[in-house]
Amino acid sequence: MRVFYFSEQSYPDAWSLPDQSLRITLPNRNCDPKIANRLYRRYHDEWVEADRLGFNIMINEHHSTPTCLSPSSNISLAILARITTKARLLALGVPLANRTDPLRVAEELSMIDVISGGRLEMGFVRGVPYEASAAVNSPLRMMDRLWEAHDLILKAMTTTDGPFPFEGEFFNYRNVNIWPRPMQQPHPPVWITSSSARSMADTARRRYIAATFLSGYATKPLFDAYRAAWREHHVSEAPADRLAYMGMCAIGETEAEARRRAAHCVATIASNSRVGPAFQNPPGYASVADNVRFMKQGSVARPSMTKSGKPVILSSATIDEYIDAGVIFCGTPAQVLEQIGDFRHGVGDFTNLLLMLQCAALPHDETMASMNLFAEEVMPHLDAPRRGHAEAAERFALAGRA
Amino acid sequence: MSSTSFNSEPVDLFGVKTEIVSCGTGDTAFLFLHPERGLRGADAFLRALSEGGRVIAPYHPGFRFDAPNHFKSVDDLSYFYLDLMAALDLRGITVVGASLGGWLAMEIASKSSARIASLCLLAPAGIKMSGRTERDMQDIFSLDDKAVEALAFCDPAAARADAEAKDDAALELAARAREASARYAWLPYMHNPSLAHRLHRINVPALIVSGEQDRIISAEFGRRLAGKLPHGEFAGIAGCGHYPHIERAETTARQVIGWRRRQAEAGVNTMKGVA
Repeated sequence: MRVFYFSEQSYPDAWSLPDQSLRITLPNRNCDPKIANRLYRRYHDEWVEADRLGFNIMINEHHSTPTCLSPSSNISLAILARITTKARLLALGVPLANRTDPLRVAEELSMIDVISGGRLEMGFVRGVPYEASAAVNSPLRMMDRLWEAHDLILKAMTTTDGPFPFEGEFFNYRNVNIWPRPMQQPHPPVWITSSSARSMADTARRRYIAATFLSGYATKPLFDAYRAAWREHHVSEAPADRLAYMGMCAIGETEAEARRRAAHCVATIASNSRVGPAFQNPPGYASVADNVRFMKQGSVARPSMTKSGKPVILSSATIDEYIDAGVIFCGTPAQVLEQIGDFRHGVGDFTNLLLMLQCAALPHDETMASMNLFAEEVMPHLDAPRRGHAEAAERFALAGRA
Repeated sequence: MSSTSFNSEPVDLFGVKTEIVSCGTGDTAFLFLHPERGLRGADAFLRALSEGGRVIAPYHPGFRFDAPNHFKSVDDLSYFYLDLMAALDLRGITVVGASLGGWLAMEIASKSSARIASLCLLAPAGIKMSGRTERDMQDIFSLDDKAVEALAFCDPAAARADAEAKDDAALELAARAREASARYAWLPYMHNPSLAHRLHRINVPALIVSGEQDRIISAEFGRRLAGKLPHGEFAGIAGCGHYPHIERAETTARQVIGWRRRQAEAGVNTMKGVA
């Protein structure tokens, strides 16, 4: 199991602002650059520790929001490339549908791959709905634009015999010839996030790694769609290393401590709906049929699901529901190990676990404690879930901490 | 209210599919180009307008069925309408366009007014007059539907009447209208920077009608635009918001019919315009 440590690099002071949207419209006078400076330094230090502890590292980007101080995945990656030594570096991702210049993305990612010594994992995402308003491009046909940008980037990274023209529907270039070219050959691994069976199938066809975010036990039909498409296109079983799940993790020495930390996870999930209603569902982002359904149900919420199949509405669930749904892995190391083991059993095996271990206002010392607990008590047992679980539970019991 | 009934016919023109709603009899006198909200709320106006001649009101591609992928701008739409006017052999018509439809009417007429006798633009969008960090039209894509409705009408009751419970078909049209508007007008927002430099080509009389209480595009914008058109006139409607064809359906229809008649009479006198 490859575990990726993930923090959104949030600006925690903004959460307590009364009745404010946390996305798109929150004025940046609420951002104190001196505080942001300290936060960046802190998050970078945490990455160095994550690298030392054996985690891989995932970063992301968002725009016009204090929930994520990284408006450029590639800048975060560039820093990571130089301050870490072992970790695989995953951007999940670069919102390609919102990029006006994907050639620049190809250049930057190649540079990052070379600086990191070939540790880049290249994640491409469509972009969240509410940021369409902050982006230049249209919210229509974003997946088509993503794939065209992807085609250009891959062609740029794998063409070694001089300039080629690219004259696409969305992007036009006269002479493409990037320097440097990436270190990993033929190109760094590609990841795509998916929340629909169709996009899972598109990703399987290309043999890319498919990741889902906070989809809980509703991940199973998505992973199954990937596996079915893989069987159809490649006449074999999809390897478990092609699938990835991003969940949150609130881990503690005691269950009570873990649950206190989980409050930060809940605050982060809730921030997704702290956005003006007009931005939640921009025109063209969802299909006409989906929009009719949204209008009838009065919301755009996509339910997740618990182990027993009970729907859970992200943004309004309780901590227990999030735990039952596999959205938050929460508890002592033994409990977390058990929950992850159950989850892998429930959705079928996957070997990329993306863990949001730092959320919202979880402070540095608690972040470090969580990271250490997970690295020492959980990570070593993930590759043999059942035996590992029993061992860990036993050691915990012996230590008198369970 | 007259009992004039509407007809709907599918259209498939060079692979572009849509539907034309029509009412009234005789030769087509009016081509109505609907605004960003589609034909929702336009029935009373179209009926009243048909007192002055047959009215056709096509859904713009994307507002009724899927638009082709290459339809990305109001410029693209304008060529569809030039084709449609030729296919239907329309002659001497008055093109009535509301908001987004007003922009479209100017795009069409700037390319060819061979089949057009006159234009009537109801609170048209389409050109940029304000500074770089201001908008001429409220950003409807940054407002939820209720907020747009509240701003669009002078009388809140008009907004309420317009937002009555809808069936699945109406919901689908509303979803399509929102998506198609973004397809054509997301960025640059509700204008074509080139159109301002082509206004001199609009060589037919154009009446701009604005609600004096329009909070989506100000009446002042309409007044100034009329001054930029070679044969532009302006008329304000008191107690009216952004959609005169909905909020003052009868008044607006009478105004449009009267305008067409006056221009036709003037046209006969000067032998100008229609073949």
